[in-house]
Amino acid sequence: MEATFVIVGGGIAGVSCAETLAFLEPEKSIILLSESALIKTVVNLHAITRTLQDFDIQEVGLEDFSSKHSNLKVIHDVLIYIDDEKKQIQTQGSLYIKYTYLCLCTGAEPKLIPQAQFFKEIIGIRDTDSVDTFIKRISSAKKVIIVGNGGIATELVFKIKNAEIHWVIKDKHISATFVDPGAAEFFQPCLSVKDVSAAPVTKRMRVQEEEYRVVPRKSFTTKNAFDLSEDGGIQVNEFMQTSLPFIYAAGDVCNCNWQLAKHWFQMKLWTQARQMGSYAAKSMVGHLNDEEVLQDFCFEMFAHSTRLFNFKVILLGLFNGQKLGRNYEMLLRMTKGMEYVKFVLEGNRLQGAVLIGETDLEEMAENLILNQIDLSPYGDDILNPDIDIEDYFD
Amino acid sequence: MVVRQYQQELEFLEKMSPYCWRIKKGFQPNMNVEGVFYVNQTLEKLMLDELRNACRPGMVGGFLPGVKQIANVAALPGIVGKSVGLPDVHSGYGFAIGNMAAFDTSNPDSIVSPGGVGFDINCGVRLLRTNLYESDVLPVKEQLAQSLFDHIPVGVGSKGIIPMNARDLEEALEMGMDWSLREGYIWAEDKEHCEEYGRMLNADPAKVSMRAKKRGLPQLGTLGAGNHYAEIQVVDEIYDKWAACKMGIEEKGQICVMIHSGSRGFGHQVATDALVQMEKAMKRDNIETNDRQLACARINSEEGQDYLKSMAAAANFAWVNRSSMTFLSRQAFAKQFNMAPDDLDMHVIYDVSHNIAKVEEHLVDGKPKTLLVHRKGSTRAFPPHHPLIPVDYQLTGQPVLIGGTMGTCSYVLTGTEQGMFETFGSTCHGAGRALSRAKSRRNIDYTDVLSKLEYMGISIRVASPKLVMEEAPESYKNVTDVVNTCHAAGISKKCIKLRPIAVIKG
Repeated sequence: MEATFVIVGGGIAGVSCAETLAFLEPEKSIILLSESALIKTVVNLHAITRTLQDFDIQEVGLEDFSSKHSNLKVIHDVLIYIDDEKKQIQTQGSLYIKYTYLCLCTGAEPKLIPQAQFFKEIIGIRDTDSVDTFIKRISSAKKVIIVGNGGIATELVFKIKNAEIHWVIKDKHISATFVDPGAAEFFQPCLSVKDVSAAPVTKRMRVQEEEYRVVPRKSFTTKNAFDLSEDGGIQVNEFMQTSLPFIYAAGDVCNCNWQLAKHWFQMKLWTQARQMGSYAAKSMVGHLNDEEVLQDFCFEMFAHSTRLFNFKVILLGLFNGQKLGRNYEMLLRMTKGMEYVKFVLEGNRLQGAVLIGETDLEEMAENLILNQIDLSPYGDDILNPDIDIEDYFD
Repeated sequence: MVVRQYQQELEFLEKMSPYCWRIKKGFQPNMNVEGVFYVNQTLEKLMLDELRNACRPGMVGGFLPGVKQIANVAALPGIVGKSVGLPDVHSGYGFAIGNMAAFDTSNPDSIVSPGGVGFDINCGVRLLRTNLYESDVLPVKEQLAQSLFDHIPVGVGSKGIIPMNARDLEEALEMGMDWSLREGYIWAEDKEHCEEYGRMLNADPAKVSMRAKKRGLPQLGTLGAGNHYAEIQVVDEIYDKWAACKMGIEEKGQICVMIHSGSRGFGHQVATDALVQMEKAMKRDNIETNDRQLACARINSEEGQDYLKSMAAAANFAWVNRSSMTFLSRQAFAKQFNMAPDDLDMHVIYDVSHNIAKVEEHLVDGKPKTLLVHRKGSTRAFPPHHPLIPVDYQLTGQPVLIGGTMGTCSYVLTGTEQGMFETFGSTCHGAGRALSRAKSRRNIDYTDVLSKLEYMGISIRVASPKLVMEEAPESYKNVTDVVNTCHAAGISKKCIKLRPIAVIKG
């Protein structure tokens, strides 16, 4: 068996990569290798600004997906070996597939707290599969302990009803992965409005100093070794190429090893998985046709849109002062129960922003970060509550 | 900035007619010409309130009121005629949004300023007509709206509907709507009904930075820039039956599609790059302005020319965007009604740019002059018989498309002789807002938040209201007020009113 493009992984990165390839190269053969019988597709894609997109994830059967694209074949199997010299992969089902280009999008898996190995009640939640398991278990639960402080934990605390919730976090405030303590305070009323019997208890407890995040999933071996990062991620350059020729990687399995733009950093999110998958496809096509590829602009600025406690949350650039040390200023505007706006400024130029609620400021903030306009003439007025300035910089 | 009491400021303003105010020299320092602004009674109050607020002690904030910005533009080197504020004028970067200013190209000191064009270069509006009526569309408007910008249709052309790679982009920047035509997305006659035939010939992609090009390339599955929108509209009122007829609008209830879009991120980068270059040029050529945001360069300097060439490329980019949306609109209607777009009579009525600078011929003090006309938040409105308007509109005057903000009414106006004479053929572009008046009241409260943030050791500033505003429910420069003022002042003429029945964000 052989194909021009072979993609490994049926998650967001792999599927975005396959779809982009099918669009850009409708004549070339594409094989998508998925460990799961369901693959994740992006639906309801909506462009909020130039770099910000909002979308939902939908799981579809392999057949349904491949039937949409005539040149795409989906195989349900597991990668076990890559022979990068022969340009061929081997699967658990003893298939040998030759490739011209290979893109690895095998994702990452949740790294659980160490106690997990002793108790079957401890479940790691990271993707839709683990959520299904969780939903089954929770239906009869009286008490739930949630460990973790990211978007998933926040959403669980908010959504679980009819059970006593203990929320265990290692940071000083809730939802620390995304927001600062001020924003956490903004969200606080959302926790207390819940029914008293189901009231979540927020406790601070040092579980372990070590990060309980995700580890890249690589259950296969290779003839020659990839260059890996410290956390085991496959290093990729600005074209998403790994250190082995004709092999690309995208999504949570890879580690971005190029000179990062000032306002961008890698975070293992669906948003970035989609961007990387799609961009890896463009890079491979560019390489194949010997065309110039400009790095996708989404890598110029971090942008993520999500919902926390039913509020729209938009994170732009260095939204928590990442990379800036303590050399920055915060400019805040908050109306309880309505909006929380934080601008991160360095040298009177906008470096990042947190926008919670219906602020209508996302496009302006994006442009101010990208343009690096000197905001000193405006002082605090840039967020003056009496002024709407969405179109001032148009 | 000159600090004066409100009453003293008023001495520099003179009401010339119920719809027109003059700004005398001296209102701001070094004014080379006078300023003028057009308002009706409602807009006048908003305009003067804005000035009054700015005169209060402690109000020397970063945002200048529109009337001050108009006067600062009047102080730029080489300006001729007047610095014109249209009825929808409101505070913007450098130039107010809703300001027109023309510079004599034969004067070596004359300047070009990116702030006079705006960041969203060639932001504009296009109107398509159909031969459908409200009753045809109402039952299916949801489906139509949804299918309009759903996805880039696969299999159209070889490379998708918008420039997808570096080479395509380069060509599109140079060719504008000729690119769209070559790729088969538009009809040849679309170009006829477009300012500049949808292509500025002086565009030079080589003058555009790599960052701007990257910022212009789309991401898959989106139309690229994001932030465009289209409206399905119904003809609500016809004021000038004869002119409407020339535009193919026969009667009330007829369906049109209005497309709003510009060059967005691409234009932003072009403008940003130019601002940096111009600050250098200003130092070198000793150009002084009243406001640092009015960065500019002499038209004939390298910086000035480079900006005009890259601005033209951004303008071409915006026309390609509007053409792509035109294509998608036609496809969606054709699919929904199972008829070809030309059987649905989906012609472009007109396409206007309201953030652009162009070289035009005008009469100044009775003498013909070649001017560089900056229109920011202002629409060109040429009168009947002007050589630059298409043959179909030679007798009516140029159609001027005025988009309301999403969900409000829109208008079609026509250009007039009086407008040509008073405002170098310019009129309003849409709605506006008054400074210091937010749409919704914000009750600021930081107590708990600040205590939680303090330990981070980062310096924290908080945004606070400058003063307690008097009750101000009407903060908005309503598009109907704006259009009525232009009509009453005679700088353009009302023709058609349109009412939206569906808004689609792209």
